[in-house]
Order: sequence, then C-alpha cells, then structure tokens
Amino acid sequence: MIFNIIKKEVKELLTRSTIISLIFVSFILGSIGNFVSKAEEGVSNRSANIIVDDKDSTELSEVFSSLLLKFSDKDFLEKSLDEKIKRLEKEGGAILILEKGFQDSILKGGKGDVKIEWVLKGIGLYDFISSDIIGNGLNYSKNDLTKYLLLKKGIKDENILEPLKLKNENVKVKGKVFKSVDPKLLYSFLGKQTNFVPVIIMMLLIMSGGMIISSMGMEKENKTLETLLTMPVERRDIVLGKIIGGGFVGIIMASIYMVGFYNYMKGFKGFISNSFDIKVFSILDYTFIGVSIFLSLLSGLSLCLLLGIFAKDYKSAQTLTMPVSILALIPFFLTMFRDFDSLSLPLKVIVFLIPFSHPMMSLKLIFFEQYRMLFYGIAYNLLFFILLSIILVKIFNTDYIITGKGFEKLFKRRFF
Amino acid sequence: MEVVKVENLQKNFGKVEALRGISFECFKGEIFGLIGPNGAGKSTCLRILSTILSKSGGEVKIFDYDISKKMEIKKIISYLPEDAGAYKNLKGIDYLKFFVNFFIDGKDREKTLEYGIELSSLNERLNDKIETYSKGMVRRLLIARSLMVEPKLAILDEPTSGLDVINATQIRDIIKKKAKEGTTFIVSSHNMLEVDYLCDRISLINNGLIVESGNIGKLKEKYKAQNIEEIFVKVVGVKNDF
Repeated sequence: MIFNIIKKEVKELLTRSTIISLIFVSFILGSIGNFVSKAEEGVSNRSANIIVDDKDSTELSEVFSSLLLKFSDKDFLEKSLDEKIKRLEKEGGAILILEKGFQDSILKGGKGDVKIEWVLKGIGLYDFISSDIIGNGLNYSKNDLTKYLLLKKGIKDENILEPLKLKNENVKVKGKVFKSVDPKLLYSFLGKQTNFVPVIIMMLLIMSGGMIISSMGMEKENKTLETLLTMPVERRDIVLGKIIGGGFVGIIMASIYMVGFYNYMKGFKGFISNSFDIKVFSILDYTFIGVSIFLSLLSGLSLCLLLGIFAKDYKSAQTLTMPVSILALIPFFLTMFRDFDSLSLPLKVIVFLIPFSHPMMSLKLIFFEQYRMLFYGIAYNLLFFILLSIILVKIFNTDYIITGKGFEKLFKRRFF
Repeated sequence: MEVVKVENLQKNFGKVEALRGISFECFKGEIFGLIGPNGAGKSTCLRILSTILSKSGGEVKIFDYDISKKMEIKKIISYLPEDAGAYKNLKGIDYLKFFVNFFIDGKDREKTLEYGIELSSLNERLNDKIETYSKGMVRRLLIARSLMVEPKLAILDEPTSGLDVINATQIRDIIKKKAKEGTTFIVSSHNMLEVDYLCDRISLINNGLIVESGNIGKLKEKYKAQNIEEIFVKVVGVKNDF
C-alpha cells in the first residue's frame, strides 16, 4: 500500500513542466558560471584602453610612459588622439597624466605626480575589467621603474625589492598537520571540497520541503485527503508514503540542479595545488555522508509535513516553507563562517539541534577524522525522524487533520 | 437487512455540539437521505460514518462492525466528500488506478478499472490530466472512483453539487442503478428535488438533532406537503421550540 502512495506522490510532484523548468534553471546556472569564468580570464588576458599624457617629457617620464603603454590595447595605440578619446568614451579606460616635474621630484627623493582620469563603461563585473588591468599595469610599471632607478644608482641586485624568502612549512589544524601549504590555499581547497554539501542540503530541503507542504495544502483544499483517509490503508503508511515520495522527488530535482551548480562553481575555481597531502575519502566515508544527507532529508520532510498540517489551503501552505528555509540557513551560514568546534556552547547546541546541520558538517568531520561527532549527528537525525513520525501519525489519527481544531487538546492528552 | 445503525450519536468540537444524539438506520439497497440546512451536522455525521472523524458519544455500527473497527469498515465503504477535487497533476486513468490499488489485487484490478472507466464515461479524456477537466467531468470521475470498487455502502455528500442538469441527471441515474444492484447509499443534499427523486427514506436534521425521519411519501401525507421543502419548513417550524 505504501508503494501505491509513494508512486502517486512521485507522479503528482514530478511533472514534465517541473523537470523542464529545472533543466532550464540548471542550464542558466551553468551559463552564469561560464560567463563569470570568462570575466575572470579577461582580467588576466585582456588589454585596456590607456592614453598617457606625458607633460614632463623627460627620460624617466618617457620610461614610465613606455612601461605603462605595454598594457594598452595594440589596436588602440595605433589610433589618432580623437579616435582614442571616442573609443575611451565608448569602451572605458583611463588617461594617465604625468605632471611636469615628474623626473625632478623623483630624483630629489620626492614622488612623481601621476593623475588618472578613469572612464568606466558601467558598473557591472565585466565593466570593471579594464580598470583592474590598468591597476595591475600601474603596479607592474611602478616596480619596473624602481628597478630602473636602482640600476641607475648602481644597485644591480634586484632581490633588494624582495629580500625575504617565505616558506610555509606546516599548517596544524584540529590535530592534523599539512606540509608545505599556504593556509589560504588549504582553506580554498577545503572550501571547494566541502561547501557543495550544504548547498545540496539547502536545495533538497527548500525544493522537496516546499513541495510536501504545498501538497498537503492542495490535499486539504481539494479534500483529496478526506478521500485518502477513507482508503483501507493505515494512516502511518500515508504519512511515510508522503515523506518518502517527497524525498525521492527531492533527490531527483537536486541532482538536476547539481549539474548546473557544478558548472556554476567551475566558474569560480581558483588555482589550487593538488601537491599537498590530503585525505582521500573511502567508499565507507561516502556512505556515511549519504546516510547523513538521507536522514537529514527525512527529518526535514517530516518537519515540512508537520507544518503542512497547519496549512488550510494551497495559498496558506506557501508561507509555511519560510520557517524551514530559515532553519536550514542558520547552520548553512554558521558552519560557513565558523567551525563547529570554535562556536560558543549555546550556538553549538542550536546548531546540533537543527537536523540539517549534520550533513552540512559531515565532509569536514570526515576530513578531520572526527567520526564520533558524525555518528552522533546521524543518530540524532534518526531519532528526530522517528519522534516526528510518531507525532505525525498521532496527529493523522485525530480529527485535527480534517477539522483543524483540537490541537491543544491533543498535546494536553498525550504529552502532559 | 440493517446495514447502518446509528444510536444517540454525539460529536463535540470543543464547546460546540455538532451532533446532539442522533439515531437512524439504513437497509440494504436503500438510498437514504440526510437532509438539513448548512451547519446542521450532515457532513459531520457522514464523516463519522466514513471513519474520518471520531465520535464523542453514542454507537455506530456498519454491517455489524463497530465504528472503531476502521480498517474492516474502510474495505466495504466508499466516501465522496462535498465539493471534492482530484489530484490535478494526475491523468484521469492514473487517478482511478491509484484508488483501485487500495482494494483489489491481480486480475480483478483490470476488471475493476474497466468498470471505473465505463462509469466515468470520460473515454479518451481519461488520458488527459485532471487539471484540464470541467467540474462535471471531475465529479463523474469521483463518482466512478467511489462506485467502481463495488462498495457495500456508499456515502455521498452533495453528490451533484455545482453540476449542470445533464451531468446531475447522469450521476443520479448511476446511483439509482447501483442501488438496484444492492449497494446501500447514504446521501446528503441541499437539493430537495434531487432527494425526492433519489431517496427511499430521509432523516431531517437541524441543529445537530434529527427532527423527523421516514418514507418520503408517508411524510408528505403526514404533513400534507407537496414536496420535501414544505415538510422541512413545517417540521422545523413545529420543532422550533427545541
């Protein structure tokens, strides 16, 4: 009987239009990632429109000017001044004015004045690329000018600009030692490995939780729940059928979303070294993660079904997804900005009690071999799901499910 | 043969007394009407008989099963709520299959489904999603769902509410035909003409109490009334002191 209900839930929730819209969103998400990736590439590869107005016309100003113009677009350099200004207005760039007395000031131990007139095409990510290129160009040119000045003073050793040799020996974190790693690089690597699980959980919960709440709202509005309750099936099976059906659809939807999200994240990847010693997850580790995600999903869906009981109709059901989303956001942000171990005790308790926290932390816990905490989380989620299912079956066995009255009475009678 | 026996049935929602001790009985192959104004307690009574709501007091027996034997009762009854809809994202045929699966196994499943298809008269439209159906089509599908499993007792709350004359007539004819075949019906309706046409016996319910019961013809004679509306007005007027 339960399979009949699961099958119906899946058929009802997983419609062709839902799948098409999900694939579309997934595609758009992936495209945004590619766009960002290209924008990042543009910063390092593209040249900018640079006009240098050398008012000093001295040896130093000419050296600096030629250094700067290496970063200018070649095609742009060949244009006349009028054409350059027109193109600058259209595409953005900068006019760098080397003021009179540029060389004198530097040779007397002062600083040469360079004024910059920026022209921005807009305020989007892409529009700032030219200003980034010009900024980088200025830094490189400043460095090369320093080397030129040192050489003129007879100092041939270029290392004077970088006299220190820094080497990252070890990074010790949570009792684990990583050799020859920059902590930022380690964070970046771990972040890339662990941040996607919280996103899956968030998407799974918001999608399948929203669906299950709406489904309950629809059942009440259309009185299909009344019909279902008169079928020769245990009410416990109706509850479980709804949770498992919603969970199954949620997993399918999240998988489609993840394809797009994976492509999206590729757009943000930085340079990450694979040379340092990093734990390789075993099949058992992945099984633990899977169990943690699945139990958290079941807990979340039970919570959503409980909220769905309060929905009078489809419209009122829509607003009830908010509490679950907020509950998922708390561990999502807390574990993103702070490690669970570094949280204060009250925050630790809050994060632990939210069933969605555990799969969000699971990858980090396995990474640092904190298996005990991982198992506590799995056990808690199992307990949470069982308890909530018992409460749900009790409510489904009362008049409240139909009339929406007598909820307080139920709790007085059963729990106090 | 007595199919339903209700004695002193009471139902309270907090301080509100929805049913204040009603009693009636229904017999095999009979169409029994429960008539009354809005809020009289008709739907509450039908929901208790359908095992959806619990009773606060009194006794209810369906085919000798006490109402607490829910699973046994659910196997032999069928309930159609007032203004009920269906799962909009399902096709009509899938909707029927879903409900057949609760009752019947194996070869009989196909036979029952074919009967459901016949009862609905929706033909090829059963392969379309229910969201594309008119109100009349949905109601026909729901009636087919209720009757295809050959229930011993069918409880129909406002079976033709909101339907046009043609759809309503078709549904009434189906009910009449099935009653002749031995199915017992308990019907609730605001439409007194429909009750007059369909029902063998009726109970008039007002403010959670049954104020009159009996054969329609005899009640008309007793109250010298042309129709049930007149009976109802006279009875409620007489019993207003209650």
